[in-house]
Amino acid sequence: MRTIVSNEIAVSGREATLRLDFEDQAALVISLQEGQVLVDGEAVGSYERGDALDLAWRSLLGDVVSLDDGPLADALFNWTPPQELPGPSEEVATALDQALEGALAPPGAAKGQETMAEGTLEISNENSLLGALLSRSDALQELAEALQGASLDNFTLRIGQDLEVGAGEEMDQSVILVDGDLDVEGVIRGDVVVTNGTVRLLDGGLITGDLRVVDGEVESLGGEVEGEVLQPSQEDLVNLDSREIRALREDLEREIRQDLLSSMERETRSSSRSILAPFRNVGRAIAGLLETLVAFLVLAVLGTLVVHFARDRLEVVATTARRAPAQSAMVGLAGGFLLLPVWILGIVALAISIIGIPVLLAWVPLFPIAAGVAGLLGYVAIARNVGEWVADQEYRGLEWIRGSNTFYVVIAGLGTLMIPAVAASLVRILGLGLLQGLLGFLGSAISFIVLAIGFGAVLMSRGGRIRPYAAYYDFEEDLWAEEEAPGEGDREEEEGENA
Amino acid sequence: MPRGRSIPVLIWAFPLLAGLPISASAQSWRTVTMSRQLSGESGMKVRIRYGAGRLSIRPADPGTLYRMHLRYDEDTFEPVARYDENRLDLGVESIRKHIDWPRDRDSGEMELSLARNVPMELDLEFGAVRAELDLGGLQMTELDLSTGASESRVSISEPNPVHMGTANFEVGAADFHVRDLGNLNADRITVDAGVGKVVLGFTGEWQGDSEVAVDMGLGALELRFPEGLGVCVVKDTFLTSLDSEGLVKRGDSYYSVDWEEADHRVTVTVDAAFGSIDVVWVK
Repeated sequence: MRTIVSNEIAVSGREATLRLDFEDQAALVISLQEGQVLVDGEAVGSYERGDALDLAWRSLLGDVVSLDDGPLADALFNWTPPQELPGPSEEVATALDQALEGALAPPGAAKGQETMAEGTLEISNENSLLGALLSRSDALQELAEALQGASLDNFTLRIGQDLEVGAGEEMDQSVILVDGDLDVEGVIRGDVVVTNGTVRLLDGGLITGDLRVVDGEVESLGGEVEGEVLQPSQEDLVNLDSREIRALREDLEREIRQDLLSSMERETRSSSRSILAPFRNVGRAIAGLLETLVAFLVLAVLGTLVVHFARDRLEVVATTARRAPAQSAMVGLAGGFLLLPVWILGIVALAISIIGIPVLLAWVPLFPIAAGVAGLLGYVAIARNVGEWVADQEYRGLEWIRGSNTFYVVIAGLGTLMIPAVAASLVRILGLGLLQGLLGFLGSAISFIVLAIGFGAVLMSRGGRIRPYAAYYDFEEDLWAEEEAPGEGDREEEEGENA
Repeated sequence: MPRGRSIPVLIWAFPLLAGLPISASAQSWRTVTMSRQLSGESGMKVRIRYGAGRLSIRPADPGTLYRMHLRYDEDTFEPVARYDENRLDLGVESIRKHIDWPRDRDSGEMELSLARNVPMELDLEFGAVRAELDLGGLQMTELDLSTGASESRVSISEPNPVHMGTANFEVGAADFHVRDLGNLNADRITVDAGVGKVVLGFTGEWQGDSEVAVDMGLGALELRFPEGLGVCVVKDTFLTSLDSEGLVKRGDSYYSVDWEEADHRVTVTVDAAFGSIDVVWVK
């Protein structure tokens, strides 16, 4: 049995994978993964989660998970798929069994197994005989020539692989080797046909039939060939048009057609994806717009509640933010980053004092809620300022925004703050990724700044309870007073006239 | 994802930017078992990283270089098992910037066994874990252990066959117990602890004198000495009480009564801010 230097077994809902690393750097990876059965990355079949094959494979992995090296190799080598597997699963399970046995058996034993088959085929790096031959089509004619008269009742065909028949080993079948070297130190009971390779007849090696080598070499190093050694040169090659060659050619053509059809299908699928791409963009853009709309509606409802229940505080926070935006932003950022430490320290302080434990029950949920409410109040306050600015611009169609109506002002401000997000979604339809990204970033940055300023203003004004810049408020109130005075005087005059 | 999404998200994420807890989500658990056989290693550096869950380390069966069993959320972490030029990295590492906090932190686990007969520089780093480590019998030429908010039990159940220069323990906010420090076969042991409870057991087979430096911020330190071991405790503390049972004060230091006659002597220097130091003698 080959030596396993490391192994890995991974099992999850999505996969059941076995990886074996051997002493000679080779590896075997068998994986049942998302419906596919993979051997060294190549799909050999399919399975369904929980079907008999899946269960059998997972059961095997469960059995061997605690084993290493020799015992692990033995257990895997001796694994037999359950008998009751349905047809397709049985074939896949057999493929897994063969992959395990092929990888775990020592090289000599693997060759011994090949002798059991009537005709075996091994190809490296290709999916089929035809594919392999296609890559070496110039060898076809050589091969046909070499095969003339060879005994092919029972044979092994290898393409692109070397073959060693070690001392003491016996193969009871002919060997056909394309693009590979053959070392014979044991016995081959049959003919040997080699194209584009070297045959080394080592001491003790014996070929009971003929040895035919085309476009290759024979090195006699003490071995024997009981039959004839034939090495037709390129000049000796005869153009053949035998039925075998025609059949091979037809197979090649069929395979090329299938490859082309597959390629065309892939192309069609690919192009259909590209055709649908703009529609997907539209869909995502609409989804983005809907998200923004929902966010706007939620904020509008919350903003309306704030205006209704805490208008005075909102005004104080808004004025604080307007009069001292930089200080508010700094305080907001600092406050934001101190939220967590304050919360945790509060928990610790309350937890270590027995008296504080009842308060702790309120502190844990209420502090984050209070922070969220403060953030909301600050955001709405900034939206109010933005809405007021929009009202001052007197844009056509926006006459409904009246500075005197705080509800309208807040709604207008929230809408204005959402403009970059709406624009990003609209730009997406046009496929302008860079502009979309810039708008998205702009929107995020604006939101962050608004939150920082708003939160800071809330902190500075203690939630709108105090006026940190009294002079500003006094100044504003003076302005109101000056504006109101003439009106009041007029009314008094009118009343006087009426009287 | 439309960029516009980030705006409403940011509104509610603002407190989160300040570090409020992250919500949990569904997890997809994956188990991986891997092992490697010894192949003539003469020494190696072993680095183990583990974030959250249960961790256990113990000596491996003969012939095994390491054997690791992991259970982790495959949407968040991926296993690490790199072996290259006598350097072995094991553990899990995050594959996402955002980590969903596991609902059940004990669901993740890492069970590791390491070869006994390979000299190794052992570097352990784990976060919020419940750790059970038995480093007995491992050939450790160096040991660095750092842990965050963990509950750790470290045992050196068998003597370290090779000599160790320094063993370093860095402990964050943890309940950290080590026993049989004598088996470490170390000249110097340093313990750097932040907050929590630290229990240092000085039992085991001492093969020479040793210096132990404990730097502790806030918490309780328990020093468990075996009878017969020469002990000197040097205290440099601020608001830390010392229960110096079995120790005699000479100058600024506290000595065991058999300090002069002891075969092996351990000098423990404690630098602590707030908390308590308890000395316990064990038979």
